Amino acid sequence: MNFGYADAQPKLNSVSFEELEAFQTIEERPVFVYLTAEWCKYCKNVEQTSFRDSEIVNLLNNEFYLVIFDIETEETITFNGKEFRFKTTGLNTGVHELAEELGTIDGVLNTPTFVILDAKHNSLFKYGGYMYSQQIKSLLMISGK
Amino acid sequence: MHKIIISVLVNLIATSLFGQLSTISGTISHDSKPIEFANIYLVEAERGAITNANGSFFLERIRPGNYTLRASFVGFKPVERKVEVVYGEDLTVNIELEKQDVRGDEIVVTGTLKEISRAKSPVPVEVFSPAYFKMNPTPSLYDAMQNVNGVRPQLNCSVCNTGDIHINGLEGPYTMVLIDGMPIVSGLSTVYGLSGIPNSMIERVEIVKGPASTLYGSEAVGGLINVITKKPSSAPTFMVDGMTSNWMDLNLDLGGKFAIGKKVDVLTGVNVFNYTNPVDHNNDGFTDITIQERASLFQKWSIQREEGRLFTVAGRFLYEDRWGGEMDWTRQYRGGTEIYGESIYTRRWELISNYQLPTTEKLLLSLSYNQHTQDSFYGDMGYLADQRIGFAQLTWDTQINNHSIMVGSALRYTYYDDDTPATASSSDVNINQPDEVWLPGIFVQNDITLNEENQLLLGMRYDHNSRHGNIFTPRLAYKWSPNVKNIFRFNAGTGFRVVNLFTEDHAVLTGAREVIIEEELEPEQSYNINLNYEHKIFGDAGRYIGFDASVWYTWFNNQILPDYETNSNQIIYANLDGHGVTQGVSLNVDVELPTGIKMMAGGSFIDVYTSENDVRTRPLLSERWTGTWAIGVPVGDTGLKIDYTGNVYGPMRLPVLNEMDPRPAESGWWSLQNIQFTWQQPNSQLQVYGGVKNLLNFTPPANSIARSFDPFDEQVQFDGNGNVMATPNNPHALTFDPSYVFAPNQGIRGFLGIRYIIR
Repeated sequence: MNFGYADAQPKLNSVSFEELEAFQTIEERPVFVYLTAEWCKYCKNVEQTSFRDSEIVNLLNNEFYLVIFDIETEETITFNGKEFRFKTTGLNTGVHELAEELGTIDGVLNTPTFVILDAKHNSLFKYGGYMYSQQIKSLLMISGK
Repeated sequence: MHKIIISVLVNLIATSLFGQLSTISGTISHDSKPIEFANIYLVEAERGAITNANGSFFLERIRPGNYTLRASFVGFKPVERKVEVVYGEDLTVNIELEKQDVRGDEIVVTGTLKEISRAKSPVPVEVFSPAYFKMNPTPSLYDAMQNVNGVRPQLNCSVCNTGDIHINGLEGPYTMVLIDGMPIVSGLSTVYGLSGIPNSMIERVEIVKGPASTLYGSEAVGGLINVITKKPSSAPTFMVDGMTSNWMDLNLDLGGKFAIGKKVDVLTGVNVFNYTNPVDHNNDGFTDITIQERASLFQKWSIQREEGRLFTVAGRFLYEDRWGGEMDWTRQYRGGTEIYGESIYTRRWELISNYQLPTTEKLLLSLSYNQHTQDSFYGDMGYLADQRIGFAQLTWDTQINNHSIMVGSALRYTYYDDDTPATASSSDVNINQPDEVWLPGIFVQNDITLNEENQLLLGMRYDHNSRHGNIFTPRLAYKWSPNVKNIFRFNAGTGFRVVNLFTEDHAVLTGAREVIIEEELEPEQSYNINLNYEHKIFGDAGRYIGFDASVWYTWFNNQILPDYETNSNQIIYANLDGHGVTQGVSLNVDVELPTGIKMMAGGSFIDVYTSENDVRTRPLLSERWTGTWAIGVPVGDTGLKIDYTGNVYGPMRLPVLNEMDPRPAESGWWSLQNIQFTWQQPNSQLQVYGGVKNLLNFTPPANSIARSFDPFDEQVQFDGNGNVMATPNNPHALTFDPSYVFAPNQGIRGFLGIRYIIR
């Protein structure tokens, strides 16, 4: 069994949705969107394992723009010229419209959800569920620029 | 020479044997790019492989024949190819995969049994998803609580099966049950209102063991169970779940959602439970479990407004008809003295609404109103009660730098009326005077994020009780989290509770004993402290181990405890001339392995006592040791999953009537264990489940109901002082007593169910 804590690795770079447009004009890359939630256990697992894997970090840093998005973010965000805001759905709970727009599959939004967009922000890949590091690595290799 | 011949022969034989077998190889790619770690599966041969860094796979030693080759990779459309393997020939198959938006199957995605509690909260909250409760499916949320460490559903009556929920050794009244954060289950409804919450309406259940925060009021000193209703985005379009057992009971849960235009989502849930087959396995002449027929309807409207503001309106209606008693009881004997039966009709409705005001500041208005009526007879003693609770709360949420401040004002109105002297005018018993209590309060909470690792929560609540005056309950919670894997939490504060005997103590109602209230009962004030540590270990492929340890101490300066022991004919209530303590330790472990195996186990040591005149007494029905576990094992790719759940309890002192009572004064160690098999094909909408409950066939002693052959005490003789005399018919000087109960009276049984879910 391997419960190893990852060794020192290069720092994972991420950008916000609103910075994407500027970055794409400098250099066009596919976008890797990672939808997460604070209380999501499988997400924490991805963050503690896959996002600490040096090969994955290098792939993400060099070939993608990574956006890490908490589906319960409260700020209003402009993306692709449209405004998306946070929707309260209950006491102390709600979901961000942009997360729903990007991540909903069959009417359900789960976390973690992995979405790959091309440089023009069209959807190339969407998976709602846990992926382990070999799968993520493999996915990144076939989707990179 | 011989050796050479033999080796040549062996080679010839070998090549001719193995020469018949072929190799299938190829690559799996997307957009011509090779995919590593993709899956290839030869269906009929039941053989599979994973592609390497070049996207290539090799399946060797395949016999000639026709096969289906299936290629798949997470997030892509699986591709199937029909191939024919010809004798002596190898085959090369190259497959391109196309993307498809895919969710992991339900077992992986929604199968988190216990979500990590909101890390934002310095208060240790345990969050259970419905998947956890499905490991041991039960008809009501009340029964489902048996699988939570430190929480124990306690039956209070063998005949009518009313119960309450104990948390960490503290009785029902100290447990607050909320729906969407609103305290609408209290008093009378804790007795019968916990059943009939349709499973289809539950998004998750949040449990706080020990005092929570100033947000919920001052009474929940034992703990809090918050049932969060489903969000439209996570609710299935339609679901039906039916379950039965060999006791011929049926539980049916229906749920559905539909949208009206783009802005309105409606969730509907229905629960029907029917058990009408009286059973008497312990031959005491009484039903083992109460006969119950109930139906409950729930509907929640979620309306989207501008700026994402919330507006929800939800309603629930419950009707239940239950009875227990002598086996030949029928409705015509209700209220009579010929055949003993306890019959309770419950009617309850609730309305809950949340509305975010159209202001730039976040102002949330929460309203609820519920009415609970009980029409019952316990033998020939009638009891009619009507309870109404109104609740309104306005909270203002704001963020100033690193201070997350919430200010709220709450108003609770409780109206209680029954046909007993408890709600009669003090001057004239014949004038009905319902009990009305207004409890306005305000609270302030400041959640300060000192830095990434440290968080401090300060809260203060002020309530004004129309009888007892001003109540201040402060609270402090501190969270230190050096990293994602370790969290320390400290929680301290005070609690305040006003006792309401008639709705809380069931024994009071049944009239089996006379109720004596010796003096004006004071409220209970408590001081509590709680320490919690969480440690998490994350490994690849979804591996996870979590540890959660807690230590708590609560000191009561007054506790109103019923005294059953001084006089077996009476229940005496008085203020405690001393103090009460409840303290303990608990540990939970949560393991998830890549094979899909999930395990949760927890144990608690609970010490509860009252100290009066320096004499320590442990209260009745308070266990010292409790443990619970749940293990879920998926069986390979078969679509079958096995769940093994159970709990174990240490000895408790039981309410015997006197020293001669033949029923054991202490319960031994006892345990309920269950096993369930669930079968579901991946991406199928149908799930079949079934198994055995109470594998050890544990039941409480057969003589639990004292003098069940004389329920109206017709053959009991009393002496001049009102004490029971020992007679040949009654050698132990007992009276009819159905309140000696500590465990459910259902032995080993089989159950079977079907779920159909359309997302």
